[in-house]
Amino acid sequence: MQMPDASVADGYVVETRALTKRFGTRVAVDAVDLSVPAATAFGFLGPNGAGKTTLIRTLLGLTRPTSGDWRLLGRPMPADRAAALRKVGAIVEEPRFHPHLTGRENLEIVAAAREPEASARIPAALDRVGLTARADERVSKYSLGMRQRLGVARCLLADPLLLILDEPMNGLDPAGIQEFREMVASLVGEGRTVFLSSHLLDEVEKTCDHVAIIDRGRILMQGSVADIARTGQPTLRVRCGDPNGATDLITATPDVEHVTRSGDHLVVVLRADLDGGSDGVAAEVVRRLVHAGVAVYSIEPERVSLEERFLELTSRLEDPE
Amino acid sequence: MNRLANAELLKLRKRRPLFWWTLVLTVGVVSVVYAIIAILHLSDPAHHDPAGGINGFQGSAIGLTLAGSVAAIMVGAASGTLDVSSGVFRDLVATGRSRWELFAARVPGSLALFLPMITLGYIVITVCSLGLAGGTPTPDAGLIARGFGWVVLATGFDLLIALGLSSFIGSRATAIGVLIGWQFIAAPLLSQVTFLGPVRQALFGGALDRLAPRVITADNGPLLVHSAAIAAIVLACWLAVLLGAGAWRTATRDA
Repeated sequence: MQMPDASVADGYVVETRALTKRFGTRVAVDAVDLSVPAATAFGFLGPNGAGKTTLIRTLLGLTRPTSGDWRLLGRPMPADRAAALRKVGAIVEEPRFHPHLTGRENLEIVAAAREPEASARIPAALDRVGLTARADERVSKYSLGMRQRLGVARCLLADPLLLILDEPMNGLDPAGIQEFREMVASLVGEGRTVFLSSHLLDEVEKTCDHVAIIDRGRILMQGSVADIARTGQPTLRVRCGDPNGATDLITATPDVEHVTRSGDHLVVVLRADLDGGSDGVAAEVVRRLVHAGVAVYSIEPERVSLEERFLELTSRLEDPE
Repeated sequence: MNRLANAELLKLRKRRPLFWWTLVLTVGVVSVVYAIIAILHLSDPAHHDPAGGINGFQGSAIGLTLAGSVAAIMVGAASGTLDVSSGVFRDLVATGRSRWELFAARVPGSLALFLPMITLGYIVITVCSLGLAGGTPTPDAGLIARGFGWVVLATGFDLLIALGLSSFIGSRATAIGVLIGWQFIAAPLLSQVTFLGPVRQALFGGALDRLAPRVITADNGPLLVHSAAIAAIVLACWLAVLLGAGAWRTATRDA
């Protein structure tokens, strides 16, 4: 694999500034500022119709933006399009092929449009996605999962620094998804960036380390998966011997906003502007309960899943207020 | 460009129905016609002329051009739309390769499939017109060479305008329908409308007739285009407009 440009190695493989795409009066991509760090698995999350595919098509120069600027691999687009896309592999929407050609021949077609070395990468690309044995069958006989894998193989012909994969897990069975996750990890391990667009929140959370959430053409949030999942209000889950008595004790603890009962647990919501994390509050809660003679079975910070965060963000948009 | 053209040829060559129909129209039709006429002549020489000779050569060259034109339109229209209809055009554009180059590669790629077949068809009519002459006059080397040039020009022209038109409108079936309708129905009718006067010189059929060896098109009536230079300009304009439109659409369409 070639080393990335210095400008990329130091920063971002995708940068957009106020990128906008309108279809008539409908705004599909609305002043998007997006930064994708190099050598990461970057999840691009959004519900159907949120603008994910339109943004990807715009990034690749497949359609012209209405306004805004963007850079790919540190190169200004569309001015330096050919040089930037030389090291980008992409699947946009479902991977499409000539159905009357074999998998190998389809790769030869795209390799012919790339640099001469691309043809020599075909065997390795087929091997990497596990299609060597079926490479000489017509694509019309392939399952959707096989076409997805052939699409990834087509991306690898570029020896890409950046792979843009639009809904790549569609049609994959659980074993295929697991293999795909491992392949993404290995690609990132080689210093490549995988930009993975999906509406499958759980898969993005398991596969990606950075994420951006888009809805109605707007980027609602972007950052590391851990940071975004943490961005909700800090919460503790407490299981103890006397939940009713403990509720009053915990509510009186400094920095606790309110306490609710959830099954045999108490859910303790802390102040949103809490400094220094929830450990100090947890220690104080335990101290008060033990001092009052209440048995404490467990206490842990509640982890806000990406899915909960995503639903919280996107449902907020639906609220007219 | 060479690799792109080879890729284009691969796409077309592996489309089995297109490949075999092209072969049938360029080689099969003239072979069958020669075989039938030869059998008729053998069975009843008094009422049926020999299949070969200058008469056979003239008829079969016209026949090869007509059937070859249909094949050429099919190949050109397929070449202009294969990538878009399969959805692969998007992936080719996403490689960063110039869209103009992607379009331009269709020209040598489609010609590489078609020209060997039309050449084979012409070899068949040449061999048959010489070998089955039965003592009648045969075409000389000069006529055979000029006839070949004209057949290649006429059918190659059809292929290129089909490529340009189909790339422009994005529909193979529509392009085939429009061009066959124009070439075999509309243009012959318009060429008979005398009040159009010299405007009829803009019809490419008349221009191709003007450039044909007169022996071959002797039965087509008076020439509409009086000068070979005008004929060449007419053909060049048709090519420039249709190929230009196809290239422009390829370069500007959303992928």
